[in-house]
Amino acid sequence: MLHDLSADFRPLSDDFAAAREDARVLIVTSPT
Amino acid sequence: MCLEGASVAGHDLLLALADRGLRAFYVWTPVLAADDRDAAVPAAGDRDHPAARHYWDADGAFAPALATPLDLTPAETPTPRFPLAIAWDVYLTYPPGDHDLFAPASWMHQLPTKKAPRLDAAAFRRSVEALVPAGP
Repeated sequence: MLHDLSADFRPLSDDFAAAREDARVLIVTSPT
Repeated sequence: MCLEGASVAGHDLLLALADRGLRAFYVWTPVLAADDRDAAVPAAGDRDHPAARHYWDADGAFAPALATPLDLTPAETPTPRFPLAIAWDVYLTYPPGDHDLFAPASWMHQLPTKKAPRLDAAAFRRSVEALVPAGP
């Protein structure tokens, strides 16, 4: 499922913070 | 190259390390001419995993915002569409705990910059393995 980022980068920022008990990787890239 | 990087730095690591407490967040951002939400849907779908979350950077705002804390300049992030520095083809790591999304523990890239190591799948995996509990 693909979630749309808002201007304040939610829901990414919320989901990232909620996963605080885990190690995380963030990948920023082009889809093509 | 972009999609391969997303696989080796994201999906492949989740297959190996998700049960040791690894989560992956993907931001698909418009950089190249063919980049749009319709292109992001299959890119995300091909890397679906219970420990993954995928986001479409519809405004193309996230990648430029991330360029500043990573100290990337326009010359280090050349693209046909953006005159500004944008952090794309970047792969960031964070240990467990409360951390700023814009302040990773480490990062790699596929850009013409020397401000961090170029993506190397084995080295990236080692850096991530150091952040999760040891396996059995």
